[in-house]
Amino acid sequence: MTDTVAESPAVGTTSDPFANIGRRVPKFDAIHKATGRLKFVGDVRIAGMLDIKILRSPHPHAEIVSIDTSRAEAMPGVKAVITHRDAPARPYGREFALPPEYMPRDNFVIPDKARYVGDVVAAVAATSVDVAARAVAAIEVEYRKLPAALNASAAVAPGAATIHDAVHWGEEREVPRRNVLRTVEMGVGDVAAGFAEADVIIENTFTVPKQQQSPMERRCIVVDPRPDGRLDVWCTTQSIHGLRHNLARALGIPYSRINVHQSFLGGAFGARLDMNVDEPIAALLAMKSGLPVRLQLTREEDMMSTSRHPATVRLRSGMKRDGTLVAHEMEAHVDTGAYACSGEWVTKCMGGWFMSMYRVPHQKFTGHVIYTNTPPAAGFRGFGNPQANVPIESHMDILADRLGIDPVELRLRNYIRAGDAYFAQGPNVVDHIKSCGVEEILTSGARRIGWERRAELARQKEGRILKGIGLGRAFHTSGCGQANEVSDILEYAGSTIKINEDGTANLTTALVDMGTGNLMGHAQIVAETLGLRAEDVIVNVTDTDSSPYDVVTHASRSTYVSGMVAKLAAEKLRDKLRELAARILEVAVEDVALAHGHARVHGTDRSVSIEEIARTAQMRQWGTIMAEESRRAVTTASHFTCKFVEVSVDTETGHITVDRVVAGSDVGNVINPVLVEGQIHGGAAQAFGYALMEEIQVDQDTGRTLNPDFLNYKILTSRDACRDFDVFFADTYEDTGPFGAKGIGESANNDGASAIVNAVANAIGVHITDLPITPEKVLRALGTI
Amino acid sequence: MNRTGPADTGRGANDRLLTLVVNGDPVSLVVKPYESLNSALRDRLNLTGTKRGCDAGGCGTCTVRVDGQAVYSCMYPALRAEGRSVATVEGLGDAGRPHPLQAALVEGGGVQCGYCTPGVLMAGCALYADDPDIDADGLAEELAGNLCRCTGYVKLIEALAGAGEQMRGNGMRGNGND
Repeated sequence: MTDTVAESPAVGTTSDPFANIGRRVPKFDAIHKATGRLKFVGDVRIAGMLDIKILRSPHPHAEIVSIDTSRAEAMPGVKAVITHRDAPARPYGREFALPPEYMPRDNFVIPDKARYVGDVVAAVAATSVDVAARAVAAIEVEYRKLPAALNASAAVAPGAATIHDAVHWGEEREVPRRNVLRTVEMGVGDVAAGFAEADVIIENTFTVPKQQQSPMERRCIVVDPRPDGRLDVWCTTQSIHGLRHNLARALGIPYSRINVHQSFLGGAFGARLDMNVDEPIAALLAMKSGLPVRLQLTREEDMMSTSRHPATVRLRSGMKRDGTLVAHEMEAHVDTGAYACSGEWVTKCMGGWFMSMYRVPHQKFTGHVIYTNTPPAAGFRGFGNPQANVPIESHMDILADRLGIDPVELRLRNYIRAGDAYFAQGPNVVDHIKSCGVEEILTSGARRIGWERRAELARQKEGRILKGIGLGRAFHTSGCGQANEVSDILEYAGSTIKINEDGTANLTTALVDMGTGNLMGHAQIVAETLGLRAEDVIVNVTDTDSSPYDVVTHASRSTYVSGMVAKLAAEKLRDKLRELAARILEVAVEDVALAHGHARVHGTDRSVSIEEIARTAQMRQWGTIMAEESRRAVTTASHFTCKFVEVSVDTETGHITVDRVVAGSDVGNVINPVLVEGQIHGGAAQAFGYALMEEIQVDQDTGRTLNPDFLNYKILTSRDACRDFDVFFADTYEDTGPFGAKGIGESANNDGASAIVNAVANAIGVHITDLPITPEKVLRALGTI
Repeated sequence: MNRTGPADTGRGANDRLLTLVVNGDPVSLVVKPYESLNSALRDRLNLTGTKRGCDAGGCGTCTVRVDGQAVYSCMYPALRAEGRSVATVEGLGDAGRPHPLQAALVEGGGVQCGYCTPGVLMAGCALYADDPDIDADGLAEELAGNLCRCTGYVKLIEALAGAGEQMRGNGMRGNGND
C-alpha cells in the first residue's frame, strides 16, 4: 500500500503548507468573527419574525390554579399565547447523547406546576419584544403555593414536599422517593477490608458550588414554519440532530418535519449540551401563530437555565505507610435542581471519574441525585469530573504530607496507567488506557514550577503575603465509544466530502463548533489525508436535512471520534482520487500516492495535480468525486493533564492571586497547537473561577436566584487572569485517534480547581474544603475573623 | 388575526428621528425614546456585528465607539448619539484589509467563539488611541470590562499587545474607523 505519505505525522514548525498536522494555522472562522460578519443565531433576521417572552413563576413551588390570558390575547400585536393547556401532555427528555429508551423524561413543554423561581408558566409571541413583555405582564395567574425544598438536604428530609410525582425512564414510570431521582452505586473489591489494611485513613466532606457556564452568547431560538408544515430551526445548540430528535418527540411530530440549521456558538461549555425548555416553546408558538418567531433569553433567564451540579462530597481514603492507596469511598449528594436533565448521567460519570484516577483495589461510590426547587443544573465542561477531582486531589496532598512522601511521587506510585482499565463514561463504558504521558507531564511540570520550593513555602508563616504552590492532576475520556453496539450512550458520527472542479474539497459534518476550533481540526485532518492544504478544505455550514448524523459536541470527542470519521471518509476519497489519477496516468493504482496537491507515481517523476484530476473528471463526465463515512466509535482514549499553580494569599484581605501556571497535557499528537493551547488557557480560567469566585446563590427563604447576571456573578476578567502560563505537551501518540490525537476540552478544566486548593493549603497550612474559596473563607481559615 | 406579522409595532407618537454618522456614513432613523444604541444598530440598521450579551453593562460584548470613546452600546441611549460619530466592528476592516488588531486576534488564537471579539476590538482601538504605548499589562488592566469565557485572556491580550508593536511601527493610533 501507498498510505505512508498521508499517514506520516508532520512537525509543527514547518513552513510547508501541506504539512497540516501540528501546524499553527489560524482557524477559518476567525476572520468572519473578527469582522463581525459571522451570523450567530441571535443575528438571524427573518421578515415578519415575532419575538417571544416567557411568563415565569415567582414562586419556587406552586400549582397553577387558574390562568387568564384574555387581556394578553386582546393586545394589538399579540399573535399567540400558550399555557399548559396548549402544550402536549406527554413528558419529554432533554439529553442528546442518550437513546430515548434510557432517558429520564420529567419535563412538559409548559408544566401545570412551577418547580423553581423562573419555571415556565406561559409564553407570548408578538410583533416586538416590548409588546410581548407587556402581554406577559397582563396574564393573570392564581398560584397555590407549596412548601419548597431549596437545597439537597432539605429535599431529602422527612416531610419534604414532593417535587415530581413521577419520572419516566423511556416508557417506564418511576416514582422518585424523597426527591431522589436515582442513586448511583459503583464499586470494586471490599472497602471495609481495604480500610482494615490501611495505616492511615482520612475523611473529609467537600462542598462544590453551583457554577454557571456563562457563555457570552445567550440562548436563542429562531423557528420559521414553512408552508409545507415543516419547521426551519436555528438554535444555540451543541447538536443539530440531537435537537431535532428531542424537539420532535416533545412536540409529537415526525423527525423529518424539522430541519435544524448548524450555527457557530458564542461559547457553550455544556450549557447547550441538551435541549432546554425554550426550544419546544418557540416551536409551539411558531406552529400556533404560523409565523416565524424568535426567543432570545435575557442574561438572567440564561443564567437560571443551566449550571454545573452543586454537590456535597464525602471522601474517605485509606493508604498504607508506603504510600499505596488501598481503599477509597465516596458518597456524593448531587443537586440536579428542579428537573432531571442530565443529573443521573453526570453522577454516573462522576463515579467513573472517581474510580479511574488511581489504582485502588477497594473502591465504592454512592451518588444520590436529588431534585430541589432550584434552577436546573446541566452538563458543564468536565461533566462531574471537577466535583470528584477536588476531593481526590486534596486527599492526595493531605496523605502525602501525613506520610512524608512528596505529592508528585505519591501520585506517580498510584496513578492509573497504560494497560489499566478505566471508566470512560459511567459504569458501562469501560476501556483500557493505551497512550499515557502522566509521568512525563508530572516530572516535567514539577521541574518547571520549581516544586522543590514547596516544603519551604509550607514553613513560611510570616508576612502579609503567603505564597504557595500546588498540583492538580486529572484525566478525561475522549468520546464515549465502546465495543458493544447496544449501549446506554450514543457515539457515532458521519462525514461527507466532495472534491470541487478546482481541486479543493467540501466537508459536511453535523458537528457543532462551540468556539473551540474543532471544525478547523477537521479541515486539517481531511487536508492531510488528501494531500491538500487546510485552506483547500471548505467546511460547509449544514443542517439536519443535508448532513449525516453526529451525536453532539461533548465528552471531548470532536477530534477523536468525529475527526476520525472525517479521516476515514477522506481515506475513501483519497483512494478514489488515486484510481482516477491511475486512469489519467495509465499506471496501476497501487503505484499512486497523494501528497502536496498531486498524485505521484512511485519511483518516477510523473504526477498529476489534484486540480487536474478534478478537471479531467468533469470534462470526461466521470461523475462527482465524493465519499462518505458514518460509524460508531468502538474505543475511547484517556487524555491526561496536570496543573502546577503558584498563588499569593493576602492574609489581611483574604484575596488570592494566581501568579504562575504550568500546565502539562497528554493529548496525544497535537493537530493544531494554537487551538489546544487555547483550550488549556480557557479551561484553567474556568477552573480558577470555580475555585475562587463562582457560585450561583439561591435565597433560602424565597427561592430566588440572587446573582443571575455579570454584575453579581463574577467570572475571571482580564485583570484576574494569570497570563504567566507555561503550556507543554507529553510526547505521546494515540494509535486509535486521527493522526495520533486525543481530546483536551474537558481535562483542561478538570485539574485547575484542585491545583488552587492545594496551592492555598501550601500557603496558609489549611486545606479548605468549601468552594469557592472566597476571601471570607480564607480569613476564617486563618482565624482572623 | 393579521397573518402578515409586521416586524415592529410601527411608529408611535413618541418616536424620534435620530441623525448620526455610523462608520463614516450619515444615517437617519426613527427610534423609541428609551431605545439603546445597541438596539438601533442591531435591530434598526442590521449591524449585527456588535453583540448584545447582557443588556446591563456587565459583559462588554456590545462595546462600540462614540466620538472615539468606547461605550457599552446596551447602556447608551440611542438619542444621545444624535449628531455623533459611531464606530462599529463593521467599519474596522475586512478580510482583504483587516485592522492590525483584527489580524493579530485571528493569527494569534485570540478568537475562539468570537462573541466577545467585536467588543474587545472596539475597546482595544479606543485604548490604543488613548495611549499608543499601552503594553500587555496595561491592556489586561483596562480590558476588565470586556469578559471572555474562552481564552483565559492569555492569547487575547498577547495578540492585542503584539499588534500594538506593529501599529507603533506604522505610526497608527488604533483609529481604524473614526
